[in-house]
Amino acid sequence: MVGVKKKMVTLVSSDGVEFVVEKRVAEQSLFIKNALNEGGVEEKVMIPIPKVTSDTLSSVLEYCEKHASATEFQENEIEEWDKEYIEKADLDLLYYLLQASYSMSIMGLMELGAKKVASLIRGKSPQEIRELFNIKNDFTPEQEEEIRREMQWNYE
Amino acid sequence: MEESSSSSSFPWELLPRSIQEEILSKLPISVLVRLRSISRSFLASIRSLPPSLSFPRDPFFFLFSSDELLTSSSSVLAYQPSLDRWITFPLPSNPSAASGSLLLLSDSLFNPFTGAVISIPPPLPMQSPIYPLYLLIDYGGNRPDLRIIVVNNSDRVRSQVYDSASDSWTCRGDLPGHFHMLGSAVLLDGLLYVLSYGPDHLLRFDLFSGDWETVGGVLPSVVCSHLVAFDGRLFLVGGVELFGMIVSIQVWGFVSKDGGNWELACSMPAEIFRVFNGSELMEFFDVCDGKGILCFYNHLEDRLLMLDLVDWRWWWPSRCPVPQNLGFWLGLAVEPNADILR
Repeated sequence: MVGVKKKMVTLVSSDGVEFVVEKRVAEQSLFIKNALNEGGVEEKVMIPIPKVTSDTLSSVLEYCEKHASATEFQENEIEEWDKEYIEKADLDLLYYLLQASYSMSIMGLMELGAKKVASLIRGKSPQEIRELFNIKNDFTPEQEEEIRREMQWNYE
Repeated sequence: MEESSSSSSFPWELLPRSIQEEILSKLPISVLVRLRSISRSFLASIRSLPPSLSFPRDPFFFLFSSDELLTSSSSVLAYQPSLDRWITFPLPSNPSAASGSLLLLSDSLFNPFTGAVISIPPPLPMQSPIYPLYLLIDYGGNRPDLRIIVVNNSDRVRSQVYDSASDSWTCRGDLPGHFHMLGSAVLLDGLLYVLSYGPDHLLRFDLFSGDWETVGGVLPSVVCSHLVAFDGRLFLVGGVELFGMIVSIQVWGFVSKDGGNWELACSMPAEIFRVFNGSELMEFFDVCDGKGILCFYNHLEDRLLMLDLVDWRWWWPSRCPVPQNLGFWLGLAVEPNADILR
């Protein structure tokens, strides 16, 4: 056989940008994998990715690219790569990556993003978290005090 | 000036519920408890987390002096490794055993996180003093099943088991032979492993049959030995003695094939041991454990040291706000249960 031709698919972001990627990269997303299986591989090469903008999709595909060739790397190498990848995502991108990992069914990316957000929450006070996530405190001061009082040991 | 992060760059409320859940399940229960006061919807998401989720381990090490004169106070200090902090908890009396989120007091079980108390009837009378060996909580059924194993040892070991299902004590098996003391009991695969001191042996107690037996070959020749069960394995922690002083601290792992043998798993690195040992000659140290995290205490130096069996990482806890000076010491680890999130 002379040079097996790589199967390519085209993903279209919500803002209409086309990304041509190898099928095995795109299939890191269960959503795409299922779409390809349903439609018959050869014909259906143009896949719209609703709700995911080109900026986010480009970052998601960077993740998929790396993980599609994960077998070529040592386990700790990919862990290291994951760490750097999620570290450089700002809060905005982190949010969109999580949304994309959900809608595109990419479990590893969802896990990675969730872990990162958990680490941001971990050492912060409730007020700092409200500011971080733009959450409005809708408790009355009395209600808030009551919730705190139940587990006083934890607020020292 | 950067102002970009102030305008909803991470709108939590718009995340799908399953992602919120995924994030929250990666936080220790004690952190989630604190997050309940963020907002109503946050409180609701935390309350509705399935109890079956496996939250990260979050043991709290409660540290007491075993000298009763020193511990007449009604509160106790606890060290929490996950946040590297010290917390004071109210405590009605000195506990003797711990499991899950409960401490075993003389006539009750006490949950330090909620303040809940469950009273326990006294054990059946025996000729010589009875002491608690192990507290077991089985969360398998609708309501947790509690068991308390107590022993007395004069000419032989006699055991009794309390079962919360019947709220009563039953006498269980005996083990012939005189031992100075039993202690350091751990549960592994439904069997209770216990160390006997003077003479030193590894004993095994079957909770169902009530049978006792001696297990395995010769114990590693260490002092201040302590059993740990973690990740399906049995470990023995102890100090290597030379001319009456401890010169090294080791962790041994039990290998059950060929009748049972101990293999050296790890030694405390020499430079860490030097600091832990301090300037005095160490004849004794204490150790307790919870969820694979070990806490060592050298009372001469009033010094604590931690070891995580997951990655064999050693660390010094943040400075305790008050000197411990616990003298002979007892450490017990408890962990808040997901119930407190409801």
